[in-house]
Amino acid sequence: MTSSVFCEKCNVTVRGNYSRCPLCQQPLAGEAVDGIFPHVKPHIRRLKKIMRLAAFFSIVSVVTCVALNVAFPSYGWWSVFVIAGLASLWLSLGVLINKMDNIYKAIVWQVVLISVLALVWDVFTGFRGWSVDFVIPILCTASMAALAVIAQAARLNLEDYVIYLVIDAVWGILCILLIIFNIAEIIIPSLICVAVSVISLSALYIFAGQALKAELKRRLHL
Amino acid sequence: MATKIRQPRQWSRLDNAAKIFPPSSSTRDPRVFRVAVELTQEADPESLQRALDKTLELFPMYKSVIKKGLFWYYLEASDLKAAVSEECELPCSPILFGNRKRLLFKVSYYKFRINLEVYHALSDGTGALQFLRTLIVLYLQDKHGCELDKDAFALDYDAARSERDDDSFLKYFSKERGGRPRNPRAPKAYQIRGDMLPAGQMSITEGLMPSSKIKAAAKAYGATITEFLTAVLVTAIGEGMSLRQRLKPVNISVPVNLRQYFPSLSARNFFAVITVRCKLGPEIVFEDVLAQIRRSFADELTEEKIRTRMNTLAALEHNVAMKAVPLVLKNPIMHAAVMTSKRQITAGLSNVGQISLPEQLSKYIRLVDAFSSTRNLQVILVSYRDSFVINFTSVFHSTDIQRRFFRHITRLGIECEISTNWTDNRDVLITEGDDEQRVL
Repeated sequence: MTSSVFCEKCNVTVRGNYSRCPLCQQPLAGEAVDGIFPHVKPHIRRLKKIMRLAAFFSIVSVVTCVALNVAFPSYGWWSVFVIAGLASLWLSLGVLINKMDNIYKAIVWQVVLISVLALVWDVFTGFRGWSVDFVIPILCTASMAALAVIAQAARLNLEDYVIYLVIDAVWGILCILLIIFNIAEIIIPSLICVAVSVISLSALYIFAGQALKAELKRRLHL
Repeated sequence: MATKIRQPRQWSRLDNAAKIFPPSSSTRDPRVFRVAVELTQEADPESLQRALDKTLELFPMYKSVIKKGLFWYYLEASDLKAAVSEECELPCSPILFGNRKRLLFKVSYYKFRINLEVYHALSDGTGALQFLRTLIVLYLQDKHGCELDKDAFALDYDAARSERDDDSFLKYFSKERGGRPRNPRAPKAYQIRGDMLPAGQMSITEGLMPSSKIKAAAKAYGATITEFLTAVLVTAIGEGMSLRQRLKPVNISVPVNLRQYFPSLSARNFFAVITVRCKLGPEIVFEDVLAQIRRSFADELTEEKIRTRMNTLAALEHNVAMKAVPLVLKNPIMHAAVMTSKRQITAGLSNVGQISLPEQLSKYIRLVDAFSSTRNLQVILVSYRDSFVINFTSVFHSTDIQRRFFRHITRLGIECEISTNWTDNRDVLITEGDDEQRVL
């Protein structure tokens, strides 16, 4: 049992070998504390330290680039690219770290985010179409393949990731809009993407219909 | 060869009280509470692990994780293994954070103590105590091989599994009978201020005293223990308020175990929170404070008032407009609602009650303890046989309120033994902290 000392001012027994009363800080007879709670070592979140350094360097880069650009404006506003680039990177990294605990969730979020970012970049650089022709469909197809591979390798329960497969496949099917509305000029990547999505969804429905329905019921309950 | 039919995962909705916890949890207040037992011998991890495995069979709801749906959080059965470990984190550290799938409770041990920490969305204090009692009984049986009367234990918690998992809110309260929420135009309550500890750290001050003496003291004033100690708390807070600050009322939030009004054996949440109000004047006279507190309790603790309040809460939850809002929007709304209601509260006090364990085991158990994470100051009362424990958790550096409180108690001639997590040089057993972050 731990030792104890008596505080006369508070009229209480203090458990643990305190040299000062924890209630009134008056000196007591004890020498060293031995209590009912363990001493806990501080957690230093290494990730947070790296993030702080990275944030600082980003600000330094942005400020330097903007200053240089203002000083030498003859090459156009290239510093905007730097800012946009860093912002996109941070957004992507932020979402990745936030969803890191669940790899399927992370992948699906990245697919949607990078598709949108690519589209925005394309539009603001003269809309040459590289985002809708290649980036979006290839990203979707690749992610479906990645999810399938990880699912096999990690041998997890289908119920844990079926919802993400569905979301990814639906996003892939939306690529058909790129073909219908003539947004994409080169349609083969989009066609492949839509085909793979439809096949994936059908396979899911046919082979794992019950698990899928159960998961949807859970996720969408009111 | 028999074919195995895969059963779909078991899942359940969060009960009405639980729905508020995930949106309002953060590193500052992770909504975790701890119930612990101090034994007369050092804890044995192997016996404890075996006892835990058996207890989980009786409380399968504890084998759950929280998942995010489109509209609400929900509980889903999980295969995660619950392992017993030596206490190595700060008390009431966050259990639910990020997207990680984790069980919503932790069993740990340190020296003579066995701790059960529970995330409030899973269960309330009473529910958790049921779990702890079963755990301790099974542990002591495993460790010391004592034979118990079948009756002595089984009768105490004779609930079928469905009764334990029952969502009693759904059973008793409905939106049809609910009214509109009362407009909280009441004056803002006094907020305790002072140097705060870094997020994630709490000041814990525990006072142990004889139950008989505390009961006698309360009786001498003609009040229940809860009323009496609430009055002592308000007095202790009041004595630290300036005359100007005393214009604001001191409001104490007190959770009420609904199981004593509406029969239920549920091991999940089933409580309502009432606010006990007290206005202090230039002179603080204990008898006046006590009278105000008793009046406030009498006003709030009528079955009718509780029923109305709970029906209103049920109406809020089942409101179609509220239901159909996606979780991403509901979270900040609920968080804001909780923050606003916190401004009506000065501190919290919760009487978990008397815990009973089989007589034959009393020689192995010294006391039962309980405390909870808090955003400001929380007092929890729990008793076992003649050991009455009053536990303060606070986010403030200062222990003035605790000091005044315990001095009031000892002045009445009640012996008090204080335990705390402060070190001698006023560090709360750790040196580094983090800024407060939203957990979800």
